[in-house]
Amino acid sequence: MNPRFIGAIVAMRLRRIAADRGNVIWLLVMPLVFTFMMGELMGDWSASGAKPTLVVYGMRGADPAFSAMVDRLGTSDDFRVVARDTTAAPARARRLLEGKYVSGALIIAEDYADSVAAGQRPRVQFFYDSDRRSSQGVRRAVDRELARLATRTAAERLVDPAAADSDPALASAFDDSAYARLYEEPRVRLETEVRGRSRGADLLVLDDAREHSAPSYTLMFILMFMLMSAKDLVLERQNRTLDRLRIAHPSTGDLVLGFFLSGFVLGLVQGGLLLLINSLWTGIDYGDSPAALVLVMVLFVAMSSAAGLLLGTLATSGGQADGLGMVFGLGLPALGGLWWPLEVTPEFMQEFGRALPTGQAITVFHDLIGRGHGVAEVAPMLWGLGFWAVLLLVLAALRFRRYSV
Amino acid sequence: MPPVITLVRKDLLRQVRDVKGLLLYLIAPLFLTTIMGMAFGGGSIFGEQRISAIPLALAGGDLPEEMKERLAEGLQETELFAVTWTDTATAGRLVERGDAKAALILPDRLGDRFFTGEDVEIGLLKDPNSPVKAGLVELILTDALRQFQAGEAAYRSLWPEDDWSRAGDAAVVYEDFTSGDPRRMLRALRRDDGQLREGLLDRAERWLAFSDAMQEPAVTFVRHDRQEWEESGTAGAGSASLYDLFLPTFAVFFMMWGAANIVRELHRERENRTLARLLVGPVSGREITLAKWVTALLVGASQLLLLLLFGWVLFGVNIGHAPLAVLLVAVAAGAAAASVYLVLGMIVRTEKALDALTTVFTLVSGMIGGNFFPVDAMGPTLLFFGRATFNYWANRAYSDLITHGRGLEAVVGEISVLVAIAAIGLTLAMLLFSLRQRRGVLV
Repeated sequence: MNPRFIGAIVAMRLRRIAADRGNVIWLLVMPLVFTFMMGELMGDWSASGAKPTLVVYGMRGADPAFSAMVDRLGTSDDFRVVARDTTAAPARARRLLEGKYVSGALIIAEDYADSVAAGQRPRVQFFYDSDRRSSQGVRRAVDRELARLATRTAAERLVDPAAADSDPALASAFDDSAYARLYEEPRVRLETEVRGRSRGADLLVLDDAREHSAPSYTLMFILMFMLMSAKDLVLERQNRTLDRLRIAHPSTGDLVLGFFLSGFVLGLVQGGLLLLINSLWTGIDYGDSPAALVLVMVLFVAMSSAAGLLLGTLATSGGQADGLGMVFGLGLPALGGLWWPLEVTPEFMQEFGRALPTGQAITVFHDLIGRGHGVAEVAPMLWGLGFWAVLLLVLAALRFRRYSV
Repeated sequence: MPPVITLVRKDLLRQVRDVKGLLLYLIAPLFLTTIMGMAFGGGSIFGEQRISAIPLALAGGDLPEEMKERLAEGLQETELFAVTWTDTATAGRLVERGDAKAALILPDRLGDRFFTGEDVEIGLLKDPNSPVKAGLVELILTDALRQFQAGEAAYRSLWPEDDWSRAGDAAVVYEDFTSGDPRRMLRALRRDDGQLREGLLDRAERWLAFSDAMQEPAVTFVRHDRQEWEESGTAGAGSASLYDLFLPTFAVFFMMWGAANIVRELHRERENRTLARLLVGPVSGREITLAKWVTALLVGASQLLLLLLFGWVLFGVNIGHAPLAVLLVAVAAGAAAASVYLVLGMIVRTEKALDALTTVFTLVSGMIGGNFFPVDAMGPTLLFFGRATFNYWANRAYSDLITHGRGLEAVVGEISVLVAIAAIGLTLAMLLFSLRQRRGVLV
């Protein structure tokens, strides 16, 4: 082994990459843009920066109970309520939803109060969009309040003070304050606990989409850059500059290590910077185990560098390296769950995804961030990543021997 | 043969002869769309794919074995859950490891607590890494409990005296009944002087009256989900499968790369000096630009249509019921892409600069133009910027045709915008070519 030769190759390749300022776009700008954009979109498809709106039409016809319900909805921190006295046609509500101007629309029948008083059944229409997270939130709140209102209205029909003494199936009064208290603090209730990493009194749950998008796009662009750089090795062969390197009588191992380590160093710098920027920018906490974080990055970068090297030895032209680089650079992240959470795919796709290096790396990140796992818990995935890194490097070295003249 | 046709023929031949390049531009999108088909689509090869069952652990409680089995079977039959009964500690560990996405922890003496008015706290443990599946479990449970909570609150607001904690003898009778020895209850009733029996009968009557009142909703609530009204509006011709949503947008995305590749040829020809030789002949710069535009249009539109065909054949993607509209959108999108990338090609001086520019341009346009998420999901801000990209209009048109099952008339606007972009872009590209030719930059 010739450390000076290997070091010279690493320095040469890094200088070449640094000399082309356009590389900054691929190395840092695009991953950050993707992290931000996809984080925003996955967090709320309808992200617009404004608070979601629930519009209520026909308040002129509402009875006090309905008005109280709208007032309660108006106290929500998650959306604002716009109450209109006038009514509206369903087509208008649909257009508002389709244009993303509102996240929900309620239309009350004009004769709502009269119908309730007459013991008839008034009609309320609710328009929402199940594909939008903000609309789902509004729907949950509206459903909760509508169930409360409907049950109260139905129960009030059993109130008859005059007949209550003689008919045990009738009540003398309906206690509104008791109803409000019992509905807000139900006897039978669901207590939800997220079994995640403890942060003092709070629990961290992987519900900020950037906790997925930040590591995902860091991993994806590390892999993509390595694969797209495979063209450089092809050009070195075609331009005979690889042959010139042999003047120094390096072994195949020296050449392989030189090319591998240059990608490895670059990937570590890129990955480290991206993780740091994401942490400072969005406050992402990568968990309680710096050792596991370092290990997953080192192994993933090693795998990516080896993959790039192997592709460079397999491709016969720059165009072919570009094309294959794009196929694998996009395909592996998609299959491994960097684009969408693996849990939404069928079981066999989940297993397949976790067998791939991209799936293994993002699973480790999820376990670090969400569960607070350490090296011992994520060891199986780290072994998997190590296996891929070694396998690809050995295959690349075997292919590289073909170029030993 | 007119020079433009000769040039187009030459460019197409070059493309076809570059078998590896051609395959790569088709293989990349085919490979990715196959992955998406496997993940979401199903179709004729992979069958119908749905979200896999949610691993749910059930623990705690002292329910009889038969009731446990029935609960598990009931949940399994929904095909939404894969249920495992276990103890509380194991359930917690299963969720912590991610082996169960959620665990339902039932309290001890569930039946007693439920009927005697004691608080009942049902625990739900959620996997932090499962926002979708664990969230779904919580949603279903919350919805199921809500009606009961409202009903109980209403009953106790009507007849507070029926509260079990204040029921005195009636509660004792119930405890006797649930103790497993009904004879104790019968004996208590036999000893009763009539007050207890009467109280129980009143209570039973109230329960029946209350149940009847709850059976008949006092207010008619009609919920309209956008997905449902759009589907019904198109008589079920549309499709909401994720693969149906993504295939056209990915096809458009890869068509953009294809168009960029054709324009790159112009720079290669300039660098190889073949462009200079061409300009010596009886061919104008305008004709060369037009030929490149036609080539990019033909390649882009063919690529788009081929991908849609692939998705239709292998994954049963619903390509709408307006094949002519699908074809026209492909041509219009191909024309717009050709124009936009030709203008980009004319702005920069080298192939390398074009590479960098088109890469950034394509990725950013893809993001804000709706290639990575459904255009229907774009909020007002994103929509504002998205409309400035040509790919948004192509994605919008395919969303109308494929997702919403609309016809040609629904996409006339989008096609018109694409054609306008194509015409303006081509004119601009021709002007830029002439300008650069006059300045001697092209030779």
